[in-house]
Order: sequence, then C-alpha cells, then structure tokens
Amino acid sequence: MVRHYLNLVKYNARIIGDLNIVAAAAIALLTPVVFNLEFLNYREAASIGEMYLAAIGIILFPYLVGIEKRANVQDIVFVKKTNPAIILIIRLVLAALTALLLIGGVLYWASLQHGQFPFLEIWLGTCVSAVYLGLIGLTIVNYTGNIVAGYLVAFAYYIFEIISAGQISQSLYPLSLLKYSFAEKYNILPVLALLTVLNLSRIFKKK
Amino acid sequence: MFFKLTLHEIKYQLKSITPYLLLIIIFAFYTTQFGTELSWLENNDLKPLSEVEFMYNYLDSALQKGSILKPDSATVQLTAAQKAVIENALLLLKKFADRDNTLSASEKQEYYEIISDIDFKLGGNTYLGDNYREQLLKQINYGSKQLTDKNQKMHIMFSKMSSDYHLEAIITYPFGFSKTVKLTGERRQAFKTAMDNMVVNGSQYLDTRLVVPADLDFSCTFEKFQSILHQLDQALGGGSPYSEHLRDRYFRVGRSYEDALVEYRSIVNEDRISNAYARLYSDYMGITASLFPIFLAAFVLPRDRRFSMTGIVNSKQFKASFYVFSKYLALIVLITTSYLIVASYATYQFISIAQANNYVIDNLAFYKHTIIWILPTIMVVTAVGLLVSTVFKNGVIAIPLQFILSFRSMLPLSGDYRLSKYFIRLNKVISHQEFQQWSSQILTNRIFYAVLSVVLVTITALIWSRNRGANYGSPLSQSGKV
Repeated sequence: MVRHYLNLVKYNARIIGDLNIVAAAAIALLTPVVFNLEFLNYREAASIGEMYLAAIGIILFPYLVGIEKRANVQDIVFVKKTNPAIILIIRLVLAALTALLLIGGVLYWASLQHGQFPFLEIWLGTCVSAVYLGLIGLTIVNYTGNIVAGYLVAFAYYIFEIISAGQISQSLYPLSLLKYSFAEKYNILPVLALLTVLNLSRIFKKK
Repeated sequence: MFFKLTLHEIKYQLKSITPYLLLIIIFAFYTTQFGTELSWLENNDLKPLSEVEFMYNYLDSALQKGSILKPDSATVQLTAAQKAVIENALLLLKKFADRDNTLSASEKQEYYEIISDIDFKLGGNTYLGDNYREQLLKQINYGSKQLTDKNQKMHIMFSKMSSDYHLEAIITYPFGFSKTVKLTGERRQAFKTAMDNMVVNGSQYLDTRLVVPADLDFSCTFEKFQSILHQLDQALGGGSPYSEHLRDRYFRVGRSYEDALVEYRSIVNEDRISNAYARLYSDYMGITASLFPIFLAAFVLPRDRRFSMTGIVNSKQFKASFYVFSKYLALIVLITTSYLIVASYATYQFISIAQANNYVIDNLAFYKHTIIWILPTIMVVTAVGLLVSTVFKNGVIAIPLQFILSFRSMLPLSGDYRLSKYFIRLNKVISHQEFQQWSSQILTNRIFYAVLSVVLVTITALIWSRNRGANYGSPLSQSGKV
C-alpha cells in the first residue's frame, strides 16, 4: 500500500514537472535581477513577497487538474481504482512544497544579504498568498474546464488586490503583509480548506 | 481563406468563456478605477473656485448653519443682526462671484473691504480678518504645474543632493520596481563630485550646518547640469530620483487661480472635457491591456498541439503567415471589441453627465483614445504571447514574462514615454495645452509598438512555418506550404 502511494507520488512529481515549474523557477531566479535583495526591511521584503513572488502560486496550481485532459487519458484515469481525488491531493502537496521551496529560497537568500525582516513570517505569509491565488485559479479550471480562464481570473484578482490594497477584501486581504499584518493569513486558512474541499468533491463527482 | 480562418477563430473563441471573462474583468477595473473619477466629475464643478467664490460659499455655508468657526476652534452662534450682515455681504459679493475673470485692482479693494467689514461685525478674529484669511484660503487647491525656471531646477536638485548624501540609502526604480540602494563610499563620492561640478566647492554644503543659499551661483550650464545628473544616476545604478524621467516630479510648483483657469478653459474648449478624461481612461484601461490579453494570446497556437491537431493543421494547404496572422487578427478584433464596449459605456456615462451639467463634449473621445492609445498595447501583448508560446510550444512561459514587463512599464505615473515603455501612463486629468508637451512622444511610441507587433507576428509565422516543416521534413515545407 505504502509502495503504491510512493509510486503515485513519484509518478505525479514527474508529470507535473512541466514548463510551469520552469516558469515558476524563472520568477524566483529573476528576483535578484529585478530587485536589490540587500538590507531588506519588513516592508521591502513583504513587497517582494506579496507583489512578486506570490505569483508563483498562479503558475503552479491551476494546471494540476487538467493534466489528464491534456494527455487525452482522462477517460482511462477516471475509471482506475485509485481515486483521482487522492491524485489531486498529492499534486497539491507537491505544488505547495515547490512554492515553499522557491519562495523560501529567495527570501532566505535575501535574509543572508543583511536582511532585517522576520524571515519565517514573510516566508509563510507569502506562501499562504501564493497557495490562495493558485487555488482560486485551480478552482476556476476545475469548474469550467478552461485553463486560460483559471490563469486569467487568478491574475486579475491578484492585480485587483494590489491596486485596491484590500479595500474590498478587508479581513481576507491576501497581501496583508504589505500592511504589516499577519492576522489576515489566519483568516485565509479556512478559505484554503474550503477551496480544497470544493475541488476534491468536484473531482470525486467526476469519477 | 485568410478571413475565413479569422472568422473561424473568432467563432471558436466566442464559444469559450474567456472573452466574456476578459470583458467582465475590464469592466470591473473600469468601475473600480475610472468610475470613481467620473463620480467626482458628477458631483463637482470643473471650474476652479476663485477666492471670491470660495468666500461666498464659506459665508453662505455659515449662514445655513447659523454659526461660524473661529481660528481658536470656538463656534460662534450667529445673531439675527449678524445673519443680516452676512446676507447683505453675500449680495455684494454675488456680482464678483459670478465673474469668469480676475478682479481689477479697485474691485479687489472693494472685495477686501466687504470681507473685513464682516469680520469686524462678527466681533473680529474670524477667518475673514487679515490675520487668518490666508489660513482659510489654503483650503483652495489649484494643483501644481511644471517648473520652467532652469536655475530653480538646478537649485532643487543641488539641495536634494546635499540632503540625500546623509541618508543611509535611497530608493531607486531601475526596472520599474523599487530598489533600496545603500550609499556606499563610492556612491557618496559621486554625490560630492556632482556637487563640485555644479558649484565651485559645492561639496562644502554637505556640512549640515551650512544652508544652501537661494541665490547659489552655478558654475555649469543647464545642459552640463543634465549630464552631471546623468552621471550621478549611473553611479547610483540608474532609475534614481536624479534620472531624466524621475527628476521631473521634484520640479512641480503650486498653481495660481489664473493658471487653473487657463487649464480649465483649455479642457473645456480644446479637449471638450471628454478628451481630457479619455486620456485618464486610457491610462487605467492601458494597465489591463498591458497584461490580460496575454492569457488569450499565449494559448491559441499551443491549442493545436494540446488537442493533437498539429497533424491536421500542418497538412492543410495554406501559408503559415495566413494561419498565424488570422489567429492574431481574430484575437485583436475580439479583445479590442471588449475595450470598445467599455468605451461605449464610458461615452454613455459621460453624455449623461454632460447633459446634467450643460457641458459640450466630444462623443468620440473614448473610441479615439481606445484605438490610438490602447490598441497598440493590445497588439504588442498579443504578439508577444503568440511569439513566446510558439518558441516554447507552451503558453505558460509568456505569463511571468508579461507580468515582469508590465510592472516594468508601470512607473512613473506620467511623463515617461520612451520606447522602452510599452503602455502609456498618464494618471491625471490635464489640459490639452499641458498634454502638448508629450503628444508627439506618445504618438511615436504608439506607432513603434504597432509596427513592432507586426514584426513579432511575422517572426512567429516564420518559426511556426519552420516547426511545421520540421514535423514533416518535407523540402516544400521550407516555403511555408505543404
């Protein structure tokens, strides 16, 4: 049983390693080119995290539910014994870990450059934003079957939050680190759970 | 064949949810960003308030409330006699307040006498008296204008250098994003050199005990001053407050009522109001056009591959350029139509405001600006999407690339229309007269990006043709036909 799931993890790690991972890694690797990572204070680190690195989530998550469709194996996969919902959980965990690593890598590098910011708070806060934005995109793809719609809605929402500075989302403002606040991140956690349940139930129904 | 392919792509796109989502998103940005500017216009008169009009409104409001606030924060309830005094003064001021030009010397004298008289009759020490009137008049904001005096510009930059030198770091925008640049010994030396090159022994003013005198004697010409600032900017890594396109923000001075009146007349007569607002509309809508079309463009050509249609498409007898350009045209038509729909709504709203306020407007303003300002942005973003997705055979790479490019062109909010900026920022309502300083630069920029987008699509067609040939290895494929 354990071997079965390990094989599933290995297999899914291989098939989700598409250009999306390259694009997400490119965002992370270009950070030192676009920004000066030396002597970052809280506000500067939060800006880089929330207004730039959080976009990694939008690149990594929305396509996770469309892989079978792309490879024209959806019909085969959905009649197999293994529940596709479990496959989605594996992919979500793998994508979240990738986001954690990429965002953490950049911020850790910045903290080594005489950074004067709370590394853990900025890292986890940015990751919550990334996963939240990514899950919004994934939900759209899951319910519409349209990958472009997923990217479009998630990015539009992201830009909207950057411009409106949380005036509408208030206590659910995903980029709250820009306001020196972590409290909104806790409020977003139940929304993340809800979005995950919605996506899993949708996949389960498809089966 | 070409238009058949274009029409086919338009029909295909219209069956999907994406163009409708794009329209909703553009509309949401319109309402939340530009819509607030329109509601301001709905509730406010465009014409700047003269001092007399302001005083008239102030007294009228005091009369309505039955009380007047004094500078010591005491609220004085008006007696019946005092109300009568104000009512009488309002009648006298009315003849000046309704005027559309400035007062003559004798009229000004009469106006001040009326105001001083009310102050006296209200017991003195009100905001109308000579001692506090200026304080009250500070509430009138006529905005700011660009400084033209070269010597003053040099003085402003010199003073800024003398204070920036003592900072630990300064904020720069080399890639459009803010960067904190630590002032190392080398960079501080660049400040000293720049100051010494501007004024003989200029670096002496780095001593905080010395104040930079207003009549500072500059030893360089204005052209030399610009070159000194350029060198300093380079030493700071570029995009510093001393760079050509960012230093303008320090060259702003307050406007007088007369200046504001000239601008108002230019907006009303030359811009017919709607053209001035259409420029602001294009600024907000340009932000959306700088990013969102990529989501449609980047996934059009990889779609054939995704649905395993490459074989069928490649075996069809049409030129590669026909195929790529037809997709491109279809996207441009669809995306531009979304913007024209929003422009129609803006025009409808503007006509309603104009009718309510008796404004004469240009009904085509929003359409004209959509075509001239926004369309080239749509064209280039779509072209980049097609090119990048063809090179990588996947649309997703184009998204982060466009995201970074968009942020890079986002700042400053106005005044920088170099060819490196692929969309136009003009985040304020300015008169036709003020706009003239940038109009030719903006036009050049727009033409450049329209031409560039055609070049990019041509390159895409060439790559697509090569990929098509590579799939089949046919010598005929080199000609683009199979």
